[in-house]
Amino acid sequence: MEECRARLAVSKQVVALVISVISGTWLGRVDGRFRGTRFDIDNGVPNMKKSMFAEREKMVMTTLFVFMSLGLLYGLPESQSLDSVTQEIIASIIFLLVLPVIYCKMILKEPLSSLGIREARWLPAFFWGGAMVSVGGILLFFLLPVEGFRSAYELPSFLEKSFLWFVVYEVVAVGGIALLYELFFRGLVMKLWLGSLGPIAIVLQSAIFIGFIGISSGFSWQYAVLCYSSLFSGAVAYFSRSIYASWLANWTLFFLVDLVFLVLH
Amino acid sequence: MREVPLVGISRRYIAVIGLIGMLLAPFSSAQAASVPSVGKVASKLEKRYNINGDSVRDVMQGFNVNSSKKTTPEVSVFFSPSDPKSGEKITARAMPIYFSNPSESLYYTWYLKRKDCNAARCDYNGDGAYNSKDWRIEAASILVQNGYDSVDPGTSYIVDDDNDGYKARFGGDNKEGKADYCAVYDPRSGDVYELVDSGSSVSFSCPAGLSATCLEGETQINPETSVVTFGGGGLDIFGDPAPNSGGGTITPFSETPPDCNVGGCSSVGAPVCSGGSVPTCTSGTPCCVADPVTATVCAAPLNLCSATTSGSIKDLCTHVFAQPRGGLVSGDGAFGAGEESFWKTNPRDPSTANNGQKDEATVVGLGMDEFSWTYFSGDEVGVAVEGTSMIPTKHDDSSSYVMWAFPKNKCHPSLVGGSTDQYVQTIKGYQVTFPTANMDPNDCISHNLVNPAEGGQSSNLSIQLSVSPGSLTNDETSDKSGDIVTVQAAIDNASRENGSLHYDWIIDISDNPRFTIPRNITAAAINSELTTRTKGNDLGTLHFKMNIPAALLGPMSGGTGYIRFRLRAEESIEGGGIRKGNSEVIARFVSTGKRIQAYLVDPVVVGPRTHVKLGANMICNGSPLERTACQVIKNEVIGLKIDGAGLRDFSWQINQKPLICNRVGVSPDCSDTEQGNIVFFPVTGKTGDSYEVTVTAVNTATDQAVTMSRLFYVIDPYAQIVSSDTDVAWKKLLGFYRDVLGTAAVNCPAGLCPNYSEEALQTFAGSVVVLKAEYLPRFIASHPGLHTEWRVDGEVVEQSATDTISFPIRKYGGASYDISFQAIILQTDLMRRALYDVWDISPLDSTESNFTGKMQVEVQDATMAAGDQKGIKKYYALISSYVPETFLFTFRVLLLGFLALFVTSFFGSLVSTPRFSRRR
Repeated sequence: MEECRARLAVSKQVVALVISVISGTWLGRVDGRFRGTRFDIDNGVPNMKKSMFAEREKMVMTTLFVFMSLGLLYGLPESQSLDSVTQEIIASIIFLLVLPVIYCKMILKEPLSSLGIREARWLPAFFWGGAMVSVGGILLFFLLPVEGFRSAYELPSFLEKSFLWFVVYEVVAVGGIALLYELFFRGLVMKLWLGSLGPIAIVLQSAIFIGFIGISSGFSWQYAVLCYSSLFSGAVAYFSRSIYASWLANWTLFFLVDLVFLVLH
Repeated sequence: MREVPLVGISRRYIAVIGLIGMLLAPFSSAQAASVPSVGKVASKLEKRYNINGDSVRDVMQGFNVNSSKKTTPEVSVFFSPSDPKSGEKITARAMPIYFSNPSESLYYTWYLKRKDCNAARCDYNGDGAYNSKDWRIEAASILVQNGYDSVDPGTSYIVDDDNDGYKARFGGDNKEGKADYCAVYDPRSGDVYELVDSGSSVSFSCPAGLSATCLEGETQINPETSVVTFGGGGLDIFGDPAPNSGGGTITPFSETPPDCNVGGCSSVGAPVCSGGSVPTCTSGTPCCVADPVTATVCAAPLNLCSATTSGSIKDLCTHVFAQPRGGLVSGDGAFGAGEESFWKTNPRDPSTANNGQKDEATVVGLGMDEFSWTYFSGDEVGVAVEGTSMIPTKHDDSSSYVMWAFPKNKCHPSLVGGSTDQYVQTIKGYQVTFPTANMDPNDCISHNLVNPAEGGQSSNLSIQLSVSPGSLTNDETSDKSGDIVTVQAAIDNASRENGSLHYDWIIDISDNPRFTIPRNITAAAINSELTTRTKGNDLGTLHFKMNIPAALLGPMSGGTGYIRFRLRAEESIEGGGIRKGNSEVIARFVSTGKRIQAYLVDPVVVGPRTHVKLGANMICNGSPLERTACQVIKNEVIGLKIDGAGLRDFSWQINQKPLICNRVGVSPDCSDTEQGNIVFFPVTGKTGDSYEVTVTAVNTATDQAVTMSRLFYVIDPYAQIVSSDTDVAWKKLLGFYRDVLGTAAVNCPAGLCPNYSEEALQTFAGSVVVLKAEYLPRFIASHPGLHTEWRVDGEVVEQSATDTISFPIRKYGGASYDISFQAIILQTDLMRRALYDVWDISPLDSTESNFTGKMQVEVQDATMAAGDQKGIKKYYALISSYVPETFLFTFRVLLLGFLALFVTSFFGSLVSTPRFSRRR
């Protein structure tokens, strides 16, 4: 019996260690803001009523801001005198990158670390990132035979002629677009807006992301990888507490998938 | 006049009497019983020896004037080239005839007269004039020097030891040991005059102002008015009984002897004073006339003359050689330093001309039948050939006359102002009269100049005309799609470029190839623009459109006719003169209003096979251009039909090969018994190939063959996108060009013509543009196998009507739409099967044809033209027009973003108000 208890205790410790690794608490760091209760560390002065009111105010404002940003991005009038791709790039940079930063710094007057722009906790980052790539590879193995998926996932033809152009494309285009998604959905939506909800914010931001894609562009196999990565990328950002890690994990996934398709083509 | 002894006359009479006695002696014994009749004797002689009196009379009449028919020496000069140009070397070759000498023994005295020479420049002999002596000197210098330059170092005329003298003989180099009798010939009278001064004085008793001459006329032969009956009994024309062997009538003729007192005579020579008192003529009658050259009537009879003689005869025989100045003589056997210096020959070279003979022999022209010199415009040249003629003298020796031949045969006493005379010598006991002339043959030279460039020695232009195409079809309808005839003139002996010749074309038509009643349509053709111009230079090729209207054709309308192209060409020769040439070519044409009609065909199943039949859609009939050259596409089957009314016996050909259509193998429209007016052919050629289809039929009314043809060109199908409403979408103006040629089809104000794009349209924002696809060939639009697709900016757009799309312009000014039209033509399966069954064309070869059309529609702001802003607003407008659209778009998005932040912040401030706080 004692032996069994001892084994159970060891098992609990291992599970706790794993959980601590997954949850990012292994290093013993505690980020009160990330936990969602600002008053926990706010000058050490307990002001429950004031803090709760401020959190509610921030929640309301951020909710309004997020939906206004996505709404404007979706309903932005198209200019007939400018190329549509250029318009999308300009609008995405402004609404997904510039405005969240301004909102954080000027409206909320909070540091950029609130958006996850901070040093990452690399152990959970690598764990969740590795899981993301591994699971993604398995899924890719099953999706590749699907004709719709293969035909929908297209790479620019010029990439097939030069690996240098492929690298430039991956770094500049894929890396840039991944940064926009990470900052808005993982930084603004998941951490700044829904951070107080705990791990469920991961699922929520992923749902918002997928929903926005479905509304704006319609569902197709073309966005399968993007939707998949939004969930794991959220996990990486949540547990590593930094969008740097999720950006890197996201980019790595895209790079590998593109590489597979490049080889297949 | 020489004394004639009386003893000679008595002997002549005795001889005549004796001869008559000998003739009559044999008959005296035979006719002893009667007195012989001279007429009977003569008649018997005629019968015995078959002597025809008319023949004898004719021979004797010719014999009487035989002395005037002499073959005197002549010379012809030929030039090479026949049309010399200034500064060009020219060679004159002399061809003498009727000399008894060989050509190399004759003396050729060449003379060259320069147009720009005068006494001041070309007086080579120093006599103060530029005359025939200088002409001869120049020619002889050229011959003897033969390019030798006396200025060459080493040439010195101090010493002359080359022994190059030559002694010339009268009558030629080979004339030796014979007496020298020089003579000239009067071609009018036929007299040969010895060049002597007889020293006699002859005077004829003509009234004042008249001179003596010999006039002669011709006998006039006139038919009688009466008719003489002969045969069938009765008397003949001589009054003798005619044998009874048939009969008839003849019209006798009467001879009217010439009467120079009335007229019709001409001078044939000068009379001589026979016996010192009786004027006699060798031919004709002595007469006194005012001018022997023009006289036709004897003004006064000439009955008396008087002659006195000094008894001495002076020989006037002389050479016509070129003579140097200073009293030196050519041909005297001495060619010293003086002559060497004058002729500028090489004193150390006996043959400066390197012709194998001595210099002096060259100077006198021994055997020099060729003369070459550098020609300049206006040069005249000639040659006097001295030699022994073939006319023997009457002197009692072996002599023949020494005579001269000139190019124009002009050398007689009356020409050069010489006088004629005579002397009498007793030859073999008879008094022989010798006509003489006192003249210098040197004076004949100036009358015998020839211009190498003058007409006569050059041949006419040789012109060859060719017409193409061979079989012509005239279109008398307003389509004007008749053949274009090209008539090419080839002139192979023109000395100039064909472009510098003058051409004069004449065009005739006729209903028969002999052009018995030709109709000149030259002027009408120019007026009807069937051809451009027919006269002028550079018209070696004439283009003529066989679109002769029915009014000009007359009875040839709808039938067959002949067209004749005549060309008269001229070229001017350097130095004067014109060469001409004429030629003509005749071509047959068919004029008809009928034409071969082309149709699309439909497949039809006949038992186990698939055939074709004529469709309902006629193609290539929309414009004269289409009717002239029908454009077709590959794998299409074309049906051909011609209106068979009034025609029979059809024969079709395609590219000179038979085109057959029968019911069994091709079409139910055809017949198995005879070739009809319908045929079919598949288009199997490549792009650019052509088919010439020809049908020949017989006109049932005229029984004449009628031939018609039509061309088909294989092209790639093509689609052109055009705007249905040019007020809404118009062709983009690319710029302006100056219409120098005046051929622009558009309005060109001030000579500047707009140049519109065929690939770009312009429209205003907000308008609705309607675009239509036009096909080439046009029959594609109704092709059953045509499938099309429109795309606007890559998006498929449905057609609003057949081959038409309509779309609103939603973009702003500066933007554009890319319009693409894609079409595919695929023959139906049944047609592909017909291609295989009828023409054995595999379905693998009858594949589809793809073609596209593209157009760009540029959008303009409708307010672009309303730009009347002033001041600072205009400045802002100007700046904004240059701001990049990217910047403006970014600015607009940022404003929206800031608006979102403001709204969020404003809402946040509302949430944080005390009222809300209290409520909470």
